[in-house]
Amino acid sequence: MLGLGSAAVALGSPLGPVPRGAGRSPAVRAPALQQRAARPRRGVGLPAFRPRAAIGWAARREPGAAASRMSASAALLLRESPSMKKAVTLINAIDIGRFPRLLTRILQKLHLKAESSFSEEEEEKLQAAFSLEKQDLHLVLETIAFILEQAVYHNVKPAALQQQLQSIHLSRDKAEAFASAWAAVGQETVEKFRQRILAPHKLETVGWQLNLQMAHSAQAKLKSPQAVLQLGVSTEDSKTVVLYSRRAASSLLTRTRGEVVGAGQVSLFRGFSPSSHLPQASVTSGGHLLPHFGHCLLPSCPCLWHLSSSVLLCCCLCLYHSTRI
Amino acid sequence: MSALGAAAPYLHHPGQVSFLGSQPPAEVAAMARLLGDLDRSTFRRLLKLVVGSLQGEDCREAVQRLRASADLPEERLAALLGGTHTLLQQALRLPPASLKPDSFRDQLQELSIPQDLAGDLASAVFGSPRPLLDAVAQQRGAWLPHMTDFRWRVDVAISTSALARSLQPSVLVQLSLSDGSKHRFEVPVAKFQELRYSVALALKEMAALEKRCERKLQD
Repeated sequence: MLGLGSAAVALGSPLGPVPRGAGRSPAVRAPALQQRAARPRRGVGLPAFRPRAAIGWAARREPGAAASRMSASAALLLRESPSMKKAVTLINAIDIGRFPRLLTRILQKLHLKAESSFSEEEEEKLQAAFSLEKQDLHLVLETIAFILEQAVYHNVKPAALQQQLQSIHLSRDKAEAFASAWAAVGQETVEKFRQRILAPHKLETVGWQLNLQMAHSAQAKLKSPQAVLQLGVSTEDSKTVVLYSRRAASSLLTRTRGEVVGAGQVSLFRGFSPSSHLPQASVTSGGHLLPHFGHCLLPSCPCLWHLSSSVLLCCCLCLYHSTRI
Repeated sequence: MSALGAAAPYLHHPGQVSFLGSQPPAEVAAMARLLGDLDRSTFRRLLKLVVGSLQGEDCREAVQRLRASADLPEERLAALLGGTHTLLQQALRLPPASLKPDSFRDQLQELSIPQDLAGDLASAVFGSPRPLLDAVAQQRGAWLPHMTDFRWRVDVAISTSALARSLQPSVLVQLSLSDGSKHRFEVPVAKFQELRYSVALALKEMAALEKRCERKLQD
């Protein structure tokens, strides 16, 4: 009974206040059912109300609400934190003439992890040019980089970016500069980010050599061709984190559950042995909110996944994914 | 004079160099002298022992047994073993196309090795043990580590910390080499195409080279 009551309350909230007399709305139906369950119908022979039906209805309503939640979280939303407000004031004060070049420069170096966009002397020149203190300049540069990274993450259109920027009270000309820089170089930047590989070793160069072995110490007058392949493998400069170890991933998830975080890496892979023909999705860290039950990160995918602290593998055989990807 | 005398037998065939080189190694010459009065069955056992050692087996116990049963003094046995080993090794170096059985027997005769023993030696070099001996010899050459196992899988990065919707495929490769080392690395798709192209090009060049070799580099 209590569960049903709370389900009714939960249904009430996304639909707004429940209008009286709207017989078709399920939110209204649920309290009525609640009353009906209290006194079983006499002589009609109908089965007593089963709470599962209401919960099934609630669960069926969930995907709609969740989908709209997902699409909302998939779009860019810039929040006005105190540091953001301060940065916006500073940016609005910057001379517009040099601003587009600054944006383009930051965009070019955005995908490089190890380096910051500007060297020491360049920062000093910027300080002089924009007449900002060192911390203020850092704040401005970091905020611009953050905005651009968020734009890359959500892959926004220039118009949407401009709208978001104007909603956090960035002046019109600066927002337009952002939008035009994004329209020019945005897609390339997204592609560069896409090519970044999060693996400890990555193949960089392939070289080969064809030798004809004429003889060696134990055999003479051979004519055996041999190929030598030289594979140049680069290692990441940062410390490597093994992404598909269960224990490491589950500790990451328990730490971040309930907070809004950026998505970690999700990879859908098949096992090494050819006998395992079932695709498994291993979620190492997920989307924005990480409840125990959640909807799939891909938009408009109907599959559900669940996590527990010990078993991290998806219990959903997502054939939808494997046919699409 | 003595040097010329030792080399004199080889001057009979001016165009052909013996498989032992211009001068036979000392141990082979020493062995040839001892073969005259050797028991035939003992020699056959000795030969079998040497072939076994060339195939890579451990022959120390067999040597002990041979010494005990044949009642040979140690230095004589050592000379015989050393000489036979070097002789067979030099003969096996050359492919059968360049060293024919007849010329082999002729050259053994010039070393004054008795006819029947020469026949035994020829059957060891050109007979049934030859393929195994060739395989063992091939492994003994100098090698860079070569690939023993190549495993792969295809990953698709659906979402990363930098992009909400990435969908970028990549290939994860695990390479095991013959020296025991394993290398695991990830190959982006563009690099994989380059790898594929390089390997295909190397194979094509290899095939062309083999065809050219057969025509040009004759013995």
